[in-house]
This record gives sequence, C-alpha cells and structure tokens, in this order.
Amino acid sequence: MILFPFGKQRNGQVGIAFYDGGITIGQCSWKNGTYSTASIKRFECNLSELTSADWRNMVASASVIGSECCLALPPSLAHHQVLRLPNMADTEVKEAAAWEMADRLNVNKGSLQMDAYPIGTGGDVLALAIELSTLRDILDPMYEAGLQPSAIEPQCASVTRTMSMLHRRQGDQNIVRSVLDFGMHDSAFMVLAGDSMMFYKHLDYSGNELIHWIAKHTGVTDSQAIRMLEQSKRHDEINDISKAVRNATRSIHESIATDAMKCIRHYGVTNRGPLSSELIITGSAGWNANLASTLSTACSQDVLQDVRLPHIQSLSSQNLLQPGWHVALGASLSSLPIGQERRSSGLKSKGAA
Amino acid sequence: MNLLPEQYVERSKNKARGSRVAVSIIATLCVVAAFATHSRVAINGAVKKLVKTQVQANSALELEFDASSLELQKENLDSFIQRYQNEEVLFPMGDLIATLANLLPSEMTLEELALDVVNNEAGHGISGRLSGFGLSDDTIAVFVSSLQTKEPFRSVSMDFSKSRTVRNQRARGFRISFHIDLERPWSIAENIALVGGAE
Repeated sequence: MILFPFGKQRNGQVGIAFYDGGITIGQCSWKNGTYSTASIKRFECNLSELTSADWRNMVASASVIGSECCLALPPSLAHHQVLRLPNMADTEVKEAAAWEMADRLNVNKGSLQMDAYPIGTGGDVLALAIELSTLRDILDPMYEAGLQPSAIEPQCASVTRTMSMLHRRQGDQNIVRSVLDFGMHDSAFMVLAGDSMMFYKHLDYSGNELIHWIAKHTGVTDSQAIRMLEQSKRHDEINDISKAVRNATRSIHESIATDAMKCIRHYGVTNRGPLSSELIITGSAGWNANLASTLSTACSQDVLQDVRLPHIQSLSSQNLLQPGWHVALGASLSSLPIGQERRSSGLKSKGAA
Repeated sequence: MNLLPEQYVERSKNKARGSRVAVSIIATLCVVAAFATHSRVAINGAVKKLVKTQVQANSALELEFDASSLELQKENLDSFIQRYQNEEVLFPMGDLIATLANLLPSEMTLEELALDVVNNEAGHGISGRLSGFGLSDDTIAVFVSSLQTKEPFRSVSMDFSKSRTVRNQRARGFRISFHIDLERPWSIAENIALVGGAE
C-alpha cells in the first residue's frame, strides 16, 4: 500500500528499531496528545544475516501499513561520538565531525556515511558514522523486500521523540528531564529540554550484565537469574530473592547512579538553563526498584518509570512488553511536523495567556 | 539527523514517485473506463430513443400524408358538392314518380313504367307508358283524366283496355301513353309519395 502525502501529519510510517540484537517493528499515529492504533512486533533474529525474505515476512506479520519506514540504529551499528567543536555553521560542523570521526575510527572518510547534530548549548556535537558496506547490507534487502526507508536516525533520537511527545511546544523547552535508556545490550543517558536532546552519553551497562552478576553472585543459571531479576522488578516488598538481587546488582546500580549523577552534573556545568527535574527510566532492562532507589538518592530527583508518562499509559501492556517499543514508536513518528506543531501550540498558548 | 545516503533517498523518492504515478494512472484508467462505460450506456439509450423517435416520426409522417389525402379528398368532395349544388336539376324524376304514385288509386296496380327519350320533328321529349290492371274501366278512366290535369304530362291516352284475371278475380288490364315535352318549360311541385295515406 502506498501512503500519499495527505494524512501523513498524524499517521506514522513504519518504525524499525535494531534493538537488543533483534528487530522491533512498530507503527502508530498521534492524535489528541496520545498514541492511537499502535502496533508493535518483536523479532529475534541475526541482524547480519537478514535477507529480503526475512524482511518481507517480518513486515507481513507485523501488520503495518505502508512501505515507507524509518530505521533507528543502535551505537553497535552506527558509531556515536560526542565531539566538542567550536561554533561554526552547520555544514562546517558536519564536515569537521566527519573528519574527526574518520580519524577516530581510523577508516577512510569516503567509506563512511556520517551526520552530526549539535546538542546542548555548550558546543557539543553528536556525530554519527556508519560504514557504507554495513549500510548497504542493511538497506539492500529492505529495498528488495519492498520497503522504502526514508530516514535513518540514531536510536537516541527515536527515544528522545518518544519521551518528549508531550513537550513539543515552545514553552516546554524549559522543562528538562533525564532519560536512562537501559537495554539488554547497552544503555544510554540523555538529558532532554522540551523535545531537544541536550546531552547524550553512551554507557556500557546492560541487562545482560545484571543477569550475569546475579547468576555469578547467587550461583544460579542465567534463566533463573532472569526470573529473579523480573521478580525483583515487579515486587517492591523485601524478600530473599529481592535481597539477593539487590546485593548482586548493587555495585552495578551504584555505578550507573554515579555515572548518571556525573552526566547530570556535566550537563549543568556545560549548558545554560534549568536543571533536570526528573529522571525517566526506559528500555527493555530499565525498570528496577533498586536501581530507581539508588538513582533517586544519587541524583536527588524523582525517578519514574516510562509507563508513568501520561501519553504512554494509553499503550497496551502487550505493546509495552515488546523490547524496543519506545524506539520503534519514536522512529514511526519521525515524519511528524514538529516545528509546525510547536508554532501552532505556542500561538494557542499565547492566545490562552 | 539522517544517515540515509543521498542515493538511497533518491531511490526511495523515485520508488514512491513511481508508485504514485502507477496509482494515478490506474485511477485515471478507472475514471476513463467509468466515463467510457457511462458514455456507452448513454449512447445506447440515445440510440434506442432515436429509433423510437424515428418510429413515431414515421407514424406522424404517415398520419400527415393520410391527413393531406383526406384533406384533398375533402376538397374534391366539397368542390363536387358545390358544383352539384350549383347545378340545376333538369329532370326531377322523383317528383314525377311521386305524382304518379299519388294519383294511382288503390283499385289499380301499376306493373310497368317505361320512359323513352324521343327526338323527332315534333321536338325533344320523353315518351312514357304505364301498364297494369285495375278493378274497372271507370277507375282507369278516372286515373287517365286525373293524369291529364297534371304537369308535365301531355297527350295522355289509354292505348287499350282488356279483361284479365288476377288472383281468380276479373280485372281490366290497361296501357296508358303520355308525353313530356322537354323543350317547353314546365314546373312540378315537389311531391312526396304517400303510401296508404302515410309518407
């Protein structure tokens, strides 16, 4: 089916997230400040061996409409580097970031596809780079399967969009939140002002590391460790299992909290404007009562789970259980005209005031 | 932020553009097909209507032709009536017969009436003969004398009178001759034959 330009303002395209070593395909539309008709499907597969038939089967079983899609790539596929560059024009910033990335990755600049995006007010630039051969391996089977990628963005951009759907007005740019995207393979810490990403840092902490530490500390198998971690997520009451999990993961949680505190402090030092008022935890390995408590203590701010956000509460629990849902939905709404929304909302706010 | 290479962006745009063009062409073809179907249906309807109208036109032409013929016949008839009414009746035979019938008494029966046009030195006229039978010679004589007084009967004479039997009764057969002069103007009143005292 072909999507015509009209009606695209509210209806999202197909969002494809390369998340936790698998594919999450999602599509949603945004109406009246909430998601509508959201569908998310998770596929566990080997990302390096995806064929056009695999893509065709995944798209068919995901029950999505349209062939235009937006890809969200993790740092494991697209290199993420935060660079400090002098104040320059955008084209010059991108060119400088390209040279810097080629130098850091020690590859020929022509073999990389790169982009750069200023974040914050302190001169930081989030530079992205991916080998063209890797990109071809991803895109060619998708085109053969009939998909039409219209954009490839970093995973953090999709997460930023999902977490700031209710902060797109001009007046919301002073509302600063921190986001910890804690996945099974890696994690990232972001500071958002309105719907703009002001700070980004990739962290090596992962859900797999927690499981490994629980298994090692308690002497259980990985599958038992996974169940123990799940149980400690759901129940806040103190019992033997939660105590064991807390003891096993305490060091990692404290390390995460320390890094989060450093990130918030770095943001506060390098950027003007208000500080973060709350910390949102998202990601497939995200919510944990012990981690939330540790983060709240270390960062001195409220810590809340992503499902507590008003617009995310409208999503079904079945969708929220799919790993990478927040990335897929963020990528799905990448075509949403944010600038226009912001202007009209600002005018409305001014009129209301 | 977009890591999609320009060549892939163009590829996606071209594919989307091609798909839209294909859909537009299909939509256009559908519209054309619908329009053609509608036109075909309209043409078929118009042809049927034309045939029906032509049949009605033919009927109207036939009627008009018939009307013209009737009009012509009417004109001819009017002309004939006018001509007939303008013409003077030369010989009112009905009035003559009505006069004879009224003069004929009930005791007499007329069997023959013969009229012959004669042209001789005496002039142009009609020679007539009446034959039949009567109850008696008196009755026949009364009829002859009555006929002599009536215009335009002239030279009324009884040729003969002889006995005969009719229905086992004795009667007198007769023949009467008369002459009507056509060269002399005469008039005769329009008569109505009375039979048994009734018209």
